[in-house]
Order: sequence, then C-alpha cells, then structure tokens
Amino acid sequence: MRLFFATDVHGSDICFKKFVNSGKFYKADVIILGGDTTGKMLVFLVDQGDGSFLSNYSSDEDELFHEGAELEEHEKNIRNSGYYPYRVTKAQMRELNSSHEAMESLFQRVMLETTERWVKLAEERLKDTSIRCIIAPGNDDHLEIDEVIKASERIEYGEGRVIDLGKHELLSCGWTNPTPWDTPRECSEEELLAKIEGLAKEVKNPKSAIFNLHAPPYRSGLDDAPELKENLQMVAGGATKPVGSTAVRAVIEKYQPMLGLHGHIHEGKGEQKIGKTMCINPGSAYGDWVLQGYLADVDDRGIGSQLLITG
Amino acid sequence: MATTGAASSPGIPSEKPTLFLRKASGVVKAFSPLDSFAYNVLANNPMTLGAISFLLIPWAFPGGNIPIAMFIAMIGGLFCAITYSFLQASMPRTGGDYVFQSRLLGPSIAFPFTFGAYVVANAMFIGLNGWMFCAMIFGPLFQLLGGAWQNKSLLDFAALINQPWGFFLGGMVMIAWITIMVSVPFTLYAKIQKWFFFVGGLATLGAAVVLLLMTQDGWQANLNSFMSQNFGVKDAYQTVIGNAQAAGFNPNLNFQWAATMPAVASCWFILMSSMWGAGNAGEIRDKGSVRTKFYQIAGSLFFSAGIAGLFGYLIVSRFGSQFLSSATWLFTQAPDKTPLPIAPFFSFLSMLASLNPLIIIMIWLAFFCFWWMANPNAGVYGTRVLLAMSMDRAIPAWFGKVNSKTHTPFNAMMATALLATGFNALYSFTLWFPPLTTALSFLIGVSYAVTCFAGALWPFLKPESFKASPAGKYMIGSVPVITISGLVFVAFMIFLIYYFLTVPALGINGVPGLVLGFGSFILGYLIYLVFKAYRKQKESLDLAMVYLEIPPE
Repeated sequence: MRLFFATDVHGSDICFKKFVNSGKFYKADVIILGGDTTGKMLVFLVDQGDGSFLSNYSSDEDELFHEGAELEEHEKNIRNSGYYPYRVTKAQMRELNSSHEAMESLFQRVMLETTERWVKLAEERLKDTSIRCIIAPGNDDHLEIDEVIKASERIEYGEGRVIDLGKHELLSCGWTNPTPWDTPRECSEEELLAKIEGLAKEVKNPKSAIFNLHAPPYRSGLDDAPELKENLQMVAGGATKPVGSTAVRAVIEKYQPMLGLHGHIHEGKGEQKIGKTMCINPGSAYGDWVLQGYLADVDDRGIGSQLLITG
Repeated sequence: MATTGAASSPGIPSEKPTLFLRKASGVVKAFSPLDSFAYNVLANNPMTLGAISFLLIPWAFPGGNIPIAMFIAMIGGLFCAITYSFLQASMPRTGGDYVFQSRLLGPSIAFPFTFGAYVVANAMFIGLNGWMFCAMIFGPLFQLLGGAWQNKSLLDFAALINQPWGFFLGGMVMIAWITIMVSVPFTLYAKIQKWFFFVGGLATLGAAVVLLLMTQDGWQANLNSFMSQNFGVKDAYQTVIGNAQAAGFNPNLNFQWAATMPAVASCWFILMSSMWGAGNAGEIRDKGSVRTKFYQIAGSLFFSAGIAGLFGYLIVSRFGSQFLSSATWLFTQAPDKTPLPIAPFFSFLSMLASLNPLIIIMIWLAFFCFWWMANPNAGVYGTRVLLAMSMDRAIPAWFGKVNSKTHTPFNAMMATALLATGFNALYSFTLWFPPLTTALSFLIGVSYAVTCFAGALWPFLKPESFKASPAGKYMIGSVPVITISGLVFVAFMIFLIYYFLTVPALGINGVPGLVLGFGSFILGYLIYLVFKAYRKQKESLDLAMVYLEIPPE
C-alpha cells in the first residue's frame, strides 16, 4: 500500500488542491490529511463604490484592485496563501470593525463555506478513482467542520476513530496538549492520554498500525518550535524548544505502532524512530504554496521506501 | 482574536480594509527588528574573519586600500542582501540556500552547490580553527602576557602551541567544543552566545578606542620594547621592514586601484555571513516583511563592513602600511626571516597597543568572544544542511538520525567533525593548505550566487507564487526588483571569480585550489548522482519526486 500524508494546510487553497491530486500524482492508495485544515485570517476587500476594492494584504501600502480579473486574481492569491478574502462595503467594514462578535461569526461562516467547497472539490476530483481520502481535523480546527467532513460520502472522517486500511489500521486524534493560543481542540496531557488510550484499545494489531496523532511526541526533534516571549514574540537568535506532547510520546512508547504521523509544529519537519515506531512530521510551508508531505510504501513487513516530499 | 496591519482594530469603527486574525497556533510575532539586528551584527564575527583577511591583503595587494575594498564588497553584498530579503520574507519557513535552490532550480543543482558551500566549506572553516586557536587567539595572549609579566613559562607555552601538533590539538579542542554546543539545548546555546557576544561587543568597542587613541610612534615603541625585552630583537619595527626588503619585497607602494580590486574578494570573506542570520520569520506575511528582513540583513552587512573598515583603517594608520605589508609578507613568503615570534594577525598587533595586562586581556576578549561562540554556528549550519539533504534522501538517512537521548543530530555532527578533523590535519601539518583559506569565500559566494540566480528567475519559473508573494510587490516598471538584485549579485560574483581564478594569493588558481574550489561542487554532484541511481535501483520511490510540484488543477 502506498500512502501519502500531509498536514497543516491551514486554509491554503492551492495546498488542498495539491493534496487532493496527490493520490493520482504519486499513485497512492490512501491519502491522509492530518489536521489544521482551516485558515487563520480574514482579509477584507472594501468596495470603493467605483468598481474598485481596497485591500491591505501583504503590501506596504493599501492597494486598489479593479473588479474582474484583477480582483479575482488577488482573491485567488489570498486563498492560496491560506487566508479568506471577503468583499464588503464601507458600511459593512465599519460595522465589522466595531464588533468582535460579528468578526468571529463571519469568520466561522466563511470557514465553513470554504470547508464545504473543499469537500465538494475533493469529491469531484476523486469520484472516478479508488483512492481513499481521509481527513482528520487538528487542534486549530473548530468543531463545526467535523459535520461538514462527516457529511461527505467520498471522504472518510478520521477523528477519534480507528479506520481499517486492509493490512493496517489508522488511528486518528487531532487534539493536542495546551498551546499559548487556547485553540479549539487542546486539553491537558492527562486528558489527551485518556483520549488516545481509549482509541488505542480498539486497535487489533498495534505493530502494523498507523497512529495519526496531530501533536508530535515530546522531545522527538519533530516538536521543536521557536521559543516565545510572553507577548508571543519570537526570541531573537532562533532559539527553539520542544513543545510536543508527553501523552503522545507515552502512547507511542507503549503501543509501538509501525508508523506515527504527526504535524502541528510546522518547523518540525523530520523523522525520528521511537523504539520500533517511525515517527514523521512533514512540517508545513502552506504560506509558500508548498505542500510538504510524507510518501511511503508499507506492507505487512513494515515500511519499505519513504520520502518527505516538497510538492 | 487579533488584528494585524495598520488598520483599525475592532472597537474603533473604520471603513479602511483590515485583517481579522483568529486565535490559532503558530500565530507569533517575528522577533523585533532591533533584536534581530543586534543578533545578526554580533553573529557576523567581523573581528576574527577580518584578522584572516588583514593577514592577506597587506602583502598580497600592497597599495590596496582596505576601506575602499570593503566598501565595494559591501555594495556588491548589498544586492545579495536585497535578494535574500525577498526570499526570506516570501518563504519565511524555508530556511536556507539548500531549500531555496531546490524549490526553484531543483535538487540536482542545489545539492552540489550547497554541498560545497555548507558541507565542505563549513568543515574547512571548523578545521581552520586549530591554527586560529594557537596563532590568532591564545598564542598572542600568552606571548603578550608573558612579556608583560616577564613570565618565561607563558612565552615558552605560546611558542609550544604554535607548532603543528599545537595547531592540531587546538583544532580538536574547538571541534569538541562545537560538538558540545551543537548537542546542548538550543536555548542554552543561545543564552551562552548572547553573553559572549555582549562581552565581545564591549571589548571590541574598547579595542577600537584604544587603537584610536594610539599613535603610530607609540605603537612602534611598544613593539620594539616587547621584542627587545623578550626576544632580544632591537628596533623590531625597522628590522621587519628591512628584512622584507632584503628578501625582495617592495613595501613602498602607494594606493593602486589594481591592488584594491582583488582585495575586494578578501573583504567579501568578512561580510558574507551577513546573509545567514536573518532567522525564522513570523508565519503571517504582513506588511513590511521585506523591509524588516532587509533591515536585518543589510544592517548586519553595513555594521560588519563598518567595523572591518574601521579596523582596516586603524591597522594601517597605527601599525604603518610598510610594516604591515612587510610583516605579513615575511610570515607567508619568507617565514625564516621574520623576527616576530608569532603570526602577525591583527589580534597580536592590536594587543600590542598596550603593554598593560588588563588592556591586553580586554583587546583579546574582542577576538576571543566572537571567535569562540561564532564557530559553533558553522557546526549548526553544516549539520542542518546534512539533515535537510538526508530528509530529501539525497544522502543516506543515517545522516539525519537524531539521537533520542541527547535530542541532537549526532551522526551529522560526527560526519562534520570527521571532515573537519581532516581539514584540521591539513592546516596543521602542511604548508600548502593554509593559503587555500580564501577558497571558503569562493565556495560560499558561488552558492549565494546560485541562490540569487534562482531568486532572479523565480518570477519566470513560478510566476503565480511570485506575484502573490511579498517579493512580487516590488517592481521597477515591469521588471521584478529581485531579478535585478539577483543578477547584479551574480555579476558581482563573476567579478570576484575572475580575481579568484587569476590572482595566486587568493588561493584558487593553482591545482590544489581548483581541486578544492571546483572539485567540491563536482564531488557534490557525483554523490547526488550515485545516491539517486542507488535509490532508483533499490527502492520503489524515486528521489526525483522529492521536489516535483504536484499540479494543483
């Protein structure tokens, strides 16, 4: 079986499209998206009333874009970088800027609409193939997106389940240990351990299983993130520290699955053996429009060839 | 919830476009420009790199003007800084030449050039340290303290370590130190480095003040007194000049452009590491990210050029150009005729600005602190590149293994240490290898040029991603600025390569230099081809897939 795993696309249209196409491109039997699928930012485009829209995305000065191809290209660029473009009138902008709740509510709506669009796109592109596509949310994904994924008949929802892949079983948990950002799916190490342990008990043969755990194991080298000051500013000099999960590490050490698929820490690209388990974090460079992933040929003897790819 | 950009935040109604950034992991602020600037300028290590260049320029290019050469090197480097600012602001999570080149030009080009620049050149730089340990750092300290305290044991010890085995053992101490520092948690490494940089920065300031207050006559008197009291050499200053003239060297050359231009290649050696330290950026590419990066990289470049240019001026004006060129010429071309007990690195010569032990130690600290803490950087860079190559399976996975107990890339570090030990032996026990040191700036400079070339082509190779990036906003007419800056730096590097290939003192144009300079790249390419073929035969996944872009549509 050839599997492809990517994670942390964070709303990037182009990265999601690449993920959906990865099965055909790499001749993979199973493609797995490991979590943190949704975007982080709304970018407003304010209608100036004369056919032009003002934007302040990724440039030193506010820029005007004319309705039509120019504006659409700008919106496409924003989507490819992982953000949600949203057209508003001046009055709507004023209203949104005055209400935190309105902003949050709009963000939720756009996020869900985008997820629905992505699910439809995946269904369309995969309909004539036998490629299995599994999507499991991560700590940054709001709980509401689960229903959108579950509703699909073509995409398999991975979170909190053990999926039979033939000779292998796939266990998925997108919850993580606490982060400085108070994200939707994080909990204490004790709770996380209980969640994963509960799932691991359903696995029939851990030795051939694949554990898709969004948080990387603590001190695995796959969990090195920039050290932050209290104001979330990076410490100068590029100092990093391990921020992975002790619960994930404990589970890996206890059950020794064949493969551990992780994400969460975008800078933590790499592979690390913990006992007999090959743990992988392909990292993420979604903002560069690059889909980082992991490609492997696995069989009942274990992992054959494997590559960390930059697709 | 947070907002970014200059627009208003919720609560202050405005019709200006804004950005709404939700709570999500990884939403961090890049380190402040001031923090970055401070880190980069200190990490650039102009003092010890300057010491190597200032040992070469006076004798190899007599009549060359160091501050002018430094200025030209800085202007050339500025275009490299611009290109790297665009790349680092646009691909903030990429981190390094190997991935920049791989993404834009493919691994078959990236591997050989970064192998030469970051595997071979880094190991060579580490290997160079034994010689620096004894001849540039500890040797002069023990000589001058021995003289100041009239302590023969210290003088004898200085002479003892300035022998091949002393160089070699000093080199092994440095390799061990680098291995330890690569192995400790990065936070601890950063903290230790910060303190060394702080002390080194203050000491550098002190050294500059001492030299500024010193007259040439005063310095000459110190040298003569030191040499007379400890080595029985009378009027050492004139003796050095006289011996060089008697041996056929003419130190009486006035300023010449023809001598200044090749000196640019040597000055580039001091400035080139400015591109390395910009570090990790914030994930959200907001307004001004290119400018911030540029301030960081160019600030480091300007600072290093300023420091090196200032000391370049000071050593010529305080030690005298005749003496300086004669002393360095004798050391490199007629070592049996020099009366000086140790290599005339500018560390030794600067410490002679005072015979007071406290001031000697202060000036020594200016060299020691930067040298001691900047060197593990070479180990870090070398191992990171090996890790990246290993992850791409361009070299065996063995190199990328991280020790689960120490949490360090032990195998990559051991490979680097082994290669560095080989270079350490070449530096310690041969006379033909040390002059090849400037090949370092050739190897690294060529890799920079390849990265800049990749940057120049980016708008044409991947126009969509370029247009959407912060770099895509900077155009002159219809020409992307990155294309202009990238190509100008490539032209600057071709200008330097001309001198590398035609000037014997720059170490590349003989057989050993050519083998080292070009052979490193060729060896890198062969390793890439061999391993690629091996994987194709033995494994089911083709190495070529690593950087193939998945079509999105």
